[in-house]
Amino acid sequence: MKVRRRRSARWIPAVLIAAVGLFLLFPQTRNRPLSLVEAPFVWTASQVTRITRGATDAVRGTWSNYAALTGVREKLAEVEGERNHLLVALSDSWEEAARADHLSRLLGLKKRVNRPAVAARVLGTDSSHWFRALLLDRGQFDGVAAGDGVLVPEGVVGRVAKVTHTTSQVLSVHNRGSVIPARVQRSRHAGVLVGGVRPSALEDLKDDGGEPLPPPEVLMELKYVQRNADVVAGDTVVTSGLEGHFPPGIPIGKVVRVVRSNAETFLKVYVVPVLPFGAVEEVLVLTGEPRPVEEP
Amino acid sequence: MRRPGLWLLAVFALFFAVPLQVGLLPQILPGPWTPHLGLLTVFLGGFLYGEAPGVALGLLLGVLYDRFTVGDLGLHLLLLPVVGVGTATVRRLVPEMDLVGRVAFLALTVLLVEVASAVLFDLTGQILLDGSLLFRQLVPAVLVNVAFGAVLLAMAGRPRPGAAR
Repeated sequence: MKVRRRRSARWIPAVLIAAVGLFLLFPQTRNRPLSLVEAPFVWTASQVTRITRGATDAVRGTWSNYAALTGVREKLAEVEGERNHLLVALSDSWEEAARADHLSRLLGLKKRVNRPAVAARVLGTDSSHWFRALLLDRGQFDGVAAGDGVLVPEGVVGRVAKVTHTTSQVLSVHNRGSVIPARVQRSRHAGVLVGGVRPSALEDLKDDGGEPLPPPEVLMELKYVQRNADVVAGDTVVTSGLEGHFPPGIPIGKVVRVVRSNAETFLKVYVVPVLPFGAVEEVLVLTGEPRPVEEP
Repeated sequence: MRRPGLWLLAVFALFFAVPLQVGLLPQILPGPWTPHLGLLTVFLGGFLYGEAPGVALGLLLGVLYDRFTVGDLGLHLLLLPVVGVGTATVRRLVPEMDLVGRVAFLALTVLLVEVASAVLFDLTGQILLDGSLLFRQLVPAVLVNVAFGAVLLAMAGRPRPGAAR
């Protein structure tokens, strides 16, 4: 009997646990008094779960942010490289556009002068600092000859002084030895524009109340202009076309000072070039006489 | 091949002096502030290696420099060989010359060459010379050439034994 009682007593807790489990499985039982027993366990479990979940989320977020930051850094470097590349390309485009614009104007000038001409690039300057000259990449093979006029769209550069098979040297308009027939554009008075002014000739002009003159090595003098001619400072001096190497009406310089003297037959007209000589890059060399105008 | 420095000067004179002088340096430095590479090369050639190399370098660079100037006179062909001979002769007469002495001698040489160039160009009507222009061109030319040449002389060190004989 004792053995039977012991065996039945063993089943009692198991049955009770199974009953409680079945009881708890059904949602309808949650509001029953037994839910008060399970509530602290559930709350504790939920809090632990929440904390664990938060910690996991934090670690996962930190890791994903780190990974994302690494990617962003690489992306940033890539974007910066691309930006630098685009800036260089943009600068190149501006340079190309400026050059294309200059060449386009040079081409326009070539059509306007209506005579054989070749475009040339400036390679350098004179080997002696006493002269202001340019070295061009065109020579006899391209039809260039000594004495040919050299222009840019803004005005006259000078005249070819020396020429070889493949290169030529241009003496600037304001260098000693440059002589170009010219006239004052406004009043049409003609003269001869000569490069180089002896500095001692300018000594008397320092105290005449006028604006200070530029250094004598950049000055020219328009000679043989009659004393009563209408010439004032600021007038533009252009080629007169009386000599075959330059077409008429091309700007050469601006009048900076006019000296009238009763003792002189002619005016002293001092002129500065319109061109910044050092900034010339491409030029047009006029290699021949004007083409005859075709009859319609 | 016993004189690598001389061959270096010759190669520089033949291939690099004029292109640098007319092409590159004027873009970096204005007018008279450009060192006269031909003059400095001939000076170094004559001073360090004697009369014959000095004259040879002077003739070579004289022809090249005259080819790349609008001036009518063969001025460089006239002056540069004289510089080569002159520097070698002075070096032989004063063998123990320290760096300060060499720089002073270089300054004197540059000054004489520049004045001679200016006078000859003025006499032939190629430039209009007066005191102010001479001063404005000479001072920068002498200063820049002496500065540049002093560096070269310091780099070259003492002349080789037996040179300039």
